[in-house]
Amino acid sequence: MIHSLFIINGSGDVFMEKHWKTVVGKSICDYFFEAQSKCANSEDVPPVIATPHHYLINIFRNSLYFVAVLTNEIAPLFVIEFLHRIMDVFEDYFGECTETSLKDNYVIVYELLDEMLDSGLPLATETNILKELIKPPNIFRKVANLVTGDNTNISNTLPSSQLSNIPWRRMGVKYTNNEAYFDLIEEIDAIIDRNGTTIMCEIQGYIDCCVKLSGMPDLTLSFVNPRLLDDVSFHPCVRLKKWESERVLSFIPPDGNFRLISYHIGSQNTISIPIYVKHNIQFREGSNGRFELTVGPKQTMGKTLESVVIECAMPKSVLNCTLTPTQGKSTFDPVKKNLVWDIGKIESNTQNTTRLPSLRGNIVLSTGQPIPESNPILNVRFTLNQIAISGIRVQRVDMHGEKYKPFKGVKYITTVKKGRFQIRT
Amino acid sequence: MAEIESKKGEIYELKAELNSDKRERKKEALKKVIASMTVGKDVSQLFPDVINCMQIDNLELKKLVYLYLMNYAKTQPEMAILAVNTFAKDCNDPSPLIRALAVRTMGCIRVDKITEHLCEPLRKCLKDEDPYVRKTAAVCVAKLYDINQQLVFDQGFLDLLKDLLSDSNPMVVANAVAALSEISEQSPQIQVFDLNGPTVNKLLTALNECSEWGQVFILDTIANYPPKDDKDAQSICERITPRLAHANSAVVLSTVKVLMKFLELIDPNSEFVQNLYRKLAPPLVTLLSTEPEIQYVALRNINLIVQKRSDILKNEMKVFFVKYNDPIYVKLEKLDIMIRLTNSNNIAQVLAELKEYATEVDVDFVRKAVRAIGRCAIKVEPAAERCVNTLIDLIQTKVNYVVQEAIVVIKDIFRKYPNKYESIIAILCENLDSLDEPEARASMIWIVGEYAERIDNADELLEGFLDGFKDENNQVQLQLLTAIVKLFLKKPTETQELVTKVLTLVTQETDNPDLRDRGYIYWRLLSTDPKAAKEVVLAEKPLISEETDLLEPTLLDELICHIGSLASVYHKPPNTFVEGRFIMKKKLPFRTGIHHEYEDITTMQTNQQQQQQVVISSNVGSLIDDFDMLGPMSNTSSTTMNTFEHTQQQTSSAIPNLLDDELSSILGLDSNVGGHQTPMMNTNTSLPINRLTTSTGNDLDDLFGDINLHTGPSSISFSSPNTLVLPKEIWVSAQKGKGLEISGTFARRNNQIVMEMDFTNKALQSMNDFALQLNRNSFGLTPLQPLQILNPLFPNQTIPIQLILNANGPIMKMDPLTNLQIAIKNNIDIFYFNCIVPIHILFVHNGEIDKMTFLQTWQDIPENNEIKYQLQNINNLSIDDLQNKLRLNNIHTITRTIIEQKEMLYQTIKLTNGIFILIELKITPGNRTIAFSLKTKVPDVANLIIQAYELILSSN
Repeated sequence: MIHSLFIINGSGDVFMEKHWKTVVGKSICDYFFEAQSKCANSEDVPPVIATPHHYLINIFRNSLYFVAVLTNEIAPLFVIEFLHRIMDVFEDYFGECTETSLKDNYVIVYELLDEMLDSGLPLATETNILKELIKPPNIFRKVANLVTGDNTNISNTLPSSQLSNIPWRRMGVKYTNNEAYFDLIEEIDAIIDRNGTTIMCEIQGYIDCCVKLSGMPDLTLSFVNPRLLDDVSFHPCVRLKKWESERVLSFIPPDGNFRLISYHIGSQNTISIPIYVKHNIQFREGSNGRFELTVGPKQTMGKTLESVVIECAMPKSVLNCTLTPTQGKSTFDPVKKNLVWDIGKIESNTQNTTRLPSLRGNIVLSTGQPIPESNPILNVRFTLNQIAISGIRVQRVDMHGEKYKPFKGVKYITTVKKGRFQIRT
Repeated sequence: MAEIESKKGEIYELKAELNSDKRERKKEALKKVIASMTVGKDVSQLFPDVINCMQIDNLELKKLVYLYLMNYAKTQPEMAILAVNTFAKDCNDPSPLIRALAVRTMGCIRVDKITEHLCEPLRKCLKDEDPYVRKTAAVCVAKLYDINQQLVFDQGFLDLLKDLLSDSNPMVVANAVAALSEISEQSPQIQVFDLNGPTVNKLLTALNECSEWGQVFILDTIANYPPKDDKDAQSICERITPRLAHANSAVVLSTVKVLMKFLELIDPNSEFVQNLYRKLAPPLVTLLSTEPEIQYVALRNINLIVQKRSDILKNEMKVFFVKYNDPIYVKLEKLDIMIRLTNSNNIAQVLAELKEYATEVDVDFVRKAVRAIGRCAIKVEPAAERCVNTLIDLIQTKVNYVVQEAIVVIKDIFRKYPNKYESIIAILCENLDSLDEPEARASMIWIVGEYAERIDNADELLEGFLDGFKDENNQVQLQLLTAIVKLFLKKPTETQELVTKVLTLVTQETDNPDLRDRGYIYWRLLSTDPKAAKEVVLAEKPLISEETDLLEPTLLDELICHIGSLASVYHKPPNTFVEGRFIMKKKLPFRTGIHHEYEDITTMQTNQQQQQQVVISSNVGSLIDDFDMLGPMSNTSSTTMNTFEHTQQQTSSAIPNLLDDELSSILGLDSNVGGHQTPMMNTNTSLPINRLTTSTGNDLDDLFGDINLHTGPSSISFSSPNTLVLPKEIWVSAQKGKGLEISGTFARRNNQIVMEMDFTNKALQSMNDFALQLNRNSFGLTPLQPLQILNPLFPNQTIPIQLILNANGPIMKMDPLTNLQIAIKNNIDIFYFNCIVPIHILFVHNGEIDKMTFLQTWQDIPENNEIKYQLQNINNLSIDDLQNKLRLNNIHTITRTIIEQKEMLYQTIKLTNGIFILIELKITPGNRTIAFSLKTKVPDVANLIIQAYELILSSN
């Protein structure tokens, strides 16, 4: 099981350690540093590292490495998932998981780690249970503690839900305004080749909920076109049998924010990509390399493309770029060789090609360097509100088990996760 | 100095605050202490002060003290005792939270004296009315087991834990499973779970309601359950399939493991399996849109799944396409799987992608992409031409590492499709000068040698390489030597000078025996029979296989059983890297019972063979023993020669001189030039022994074992005149051992158990770094000292090994009892195999007891432990001979009497582990059948003893 945990910052300091069994010396991290030194990028460190007596499993998130030390055979995914869970809990408690926030809350961090794992076995990992055991820090409580003179962040009662059949929900939830919001978010994951043909296009979708309902509400959520959802993973609260038989999501929700379902729509389905980029990039000796991009909307169903950004990692031999955009702002970082063109909004009715945003100019190559073999890859980001690109829509949300009338809202967003939409040029 | 002062000051201040009267100040101080501890500062000196804070009745304070205690109790065991009373009190607290906290903390304190006090509270907590306490206590049993195994057995905690499997609360069940898994991980030899239908049913019920982590433990446990039949397997599969939609990737992968394992039992053509295949693909694909670390583990596992059942993901090629910002470890894995999924339908797409990757920045990735193009060419024949063209395009980019990698794969393409793409040789030759990596150079030289007749200036090219011969890597040198010989055989007139030059170089100016020997062989071949040389050197090469890097099927099957574990990430069986433990080898279930029966039959046959092949040769034995003891490589030339001559003298009456003239002249030449011991001689010295029974063929064949493998029995065993030794049998065939052939047997010499083996290298390169390990076994056999083979084992060389075994190692019951699992490692791989230790090897010499004790013991053992059997006295031995023969094998006759005209022999055997076996033989004169009756406290060995008797009696 998980023996110890070391938290390492970007500059290679082990600033926190926790041992669940015997103490393992910090020097074990040297194996990690050795592996790290062999990698060009911080995210390239292999997740599983073997040492003569232990195994190290690490994750890299928020510029921090969480390194777990194991002594015997245990499923690595178990550990990786768990490390991510620890990060999630920290983010939930402190708003962010950074070196400073962890250092500011040493004792809470330590108490949390102790509550989450017992002798290497997971104990309580649901934040709502943890929050009943160990109260998160907040300004209000600090003030209250000052006034009342009570200064504890440990609860004296056993969290009631820890042993119920619905460990994710605490008892006795009460709100004056009962509301439930559902954000249906879809992220496009695509590779487009230089002729504009889609090589691969997939959608990763989520429904993130913010549920603030009193008591024990039992919700049902149905879709207009559930057949699209054949590859799904659910929050433990979803009744799997009901989904299998009726294709509706039936669940007693956790209190607060949570991810109800995540789904994946593979490349077998035809997905229309709402954006296109025309490009003409040519490298030539000297300062007369050409660079030209034009971006336009495509099948956006009347919606506006928002926060459109195109990034391009130029080859090392590029010295500088002199580019002028017709819309937005472009910057070139001559050290990292990274070109960013922040375009902003593109209205869907901009069909007139002359009014489409474009970026034109020259590329200067450093002299004596060979002309790059291949053209750079474009990374595109955008957001499309009020639409889920796959066509999935929520039909209705119903609530049973409680008498009040809640406010229900569903929002659709189509977006691109950084670096997941690539156009080859 | 100042720093130390200030630190002292800090500790001093904390001490004062901890002892303050005010609760608030105490708490703040404690928090500071914990904070220092968290960053790894040593605050252990504050131990007594912190312990004092424990008395205060405040949960938060208590928690902080407990946190401190867990960390430092080990270093201050004497002080930790002070806390015991408070723990005991807290275990009876009305609040379940405090009860659980107390028992949990006690379990974390690894101090013997505290552990003693843990038992009673723990027993109570395991039966606590509150499930929260029970669930905490379940984990505590595993903790206790880690500290003191005996205590857990003695106090019956294991049974209490098993009872919790039927608990009404799913969280308790999950924790009980987790604790039991942890225990069985530590001691695989004890049967922790009684996995049967009802238990599995309970687990499946709990599965639906317990936490995600608990689900992983339950699924991993179910994976070890052997379903009764295909129906059973199918129903379990149906019940766990919904888990594939779980958000936790560990749950998904554990579910996949159970499904992959149980699929073995279900008819592959059934609709159920086809449905399951459809359900398996999406969750695996989903794992690839998660965090890169999860992707990596998922990809390593998908790699296994694709090798086992490629149908599952055959339509999902696109998800493995590489993004340029994937971490490198993800990129390399994706590429590997892409190649495995490539077929003639998707090759165009794959090739376009690979070409794209070959222009990326990351050198390692580009290299692998280029290699992948070559693999596509070999795998998908219709696309070979396109792949070759792509490679040519890449060579023309002149990017150094791309060119080198391309040349290495083109060599393989030439081997797969001979006489098809030779037109591109000219392009390859243009890049000759830019090659600086040994593998690329060797590949290019191979190509030049292989197609020497089509390359006009082949001699110039090769001569060019020859100039810097001494600085070349060994691999390149060997390749160059062979290439020049090939060239000479193809164009003998122009290249005589060149070939003489290279042969002189390798035989006289190099100290690499491998190279030198190859040189001698070529030289001799060329000078004696050029025609034979042509047949040997220019022989048609076997085709290379389509799939490369495939895991060996048995290993693959084992790894499938470990999906989701570290083993699946390393692609190695767990026992090769999990330190200090031997994990039970897991096997995929068979679909029908046929395989099992088949196995039984084969073992029976081998047993019979063993019985038939018994050879005891008394006169040469001791001599050979001495020879073996010396070790093959350490002896000097003269001693080897002496021993060799000695052997010849000893055996000359029976054996003709086997060395024909040619070989002895090589031998002579060798000792003239080299003047010292060479591996070649070793091969020769072992020849006469090996040839005792085989016909004398052309000895040259022996040198070229790979060309003309001689098939006769390669060894005979010798033994000292007393104990029976079975002939060596082949334990690892050259094919399975990647060129290493191991044959062996067991003997008892000077009252020690000796494992005698012959290692033969049938590969083309030398082997070294040998090591041997025995798995735990029924009799605790372990090597007395590690396997020592100081010098490399050269191709076609055989070395005899004698390894003395002790019987005081760790014990694990094997089936059959005398089964021994051996692992042998060399620089190439690790090989695992089983062999049977004949039980009579384990009979010790001091097993004699007096008559009275015999009688007493015989009566003490219950009647139903008596086993009767009819032995056949095949050789019709007289009773005296029989007695002698048995005594030689440490079967002692206690007394002999005549009852009712029948000879009664009372005998004892003592095994290395102290077990006594008492035997009564009833012999009717003139009748070959002996009535055999055996009594022992351990009836498991009875059948083995009977076999031993039969073996000894039938030997001659």
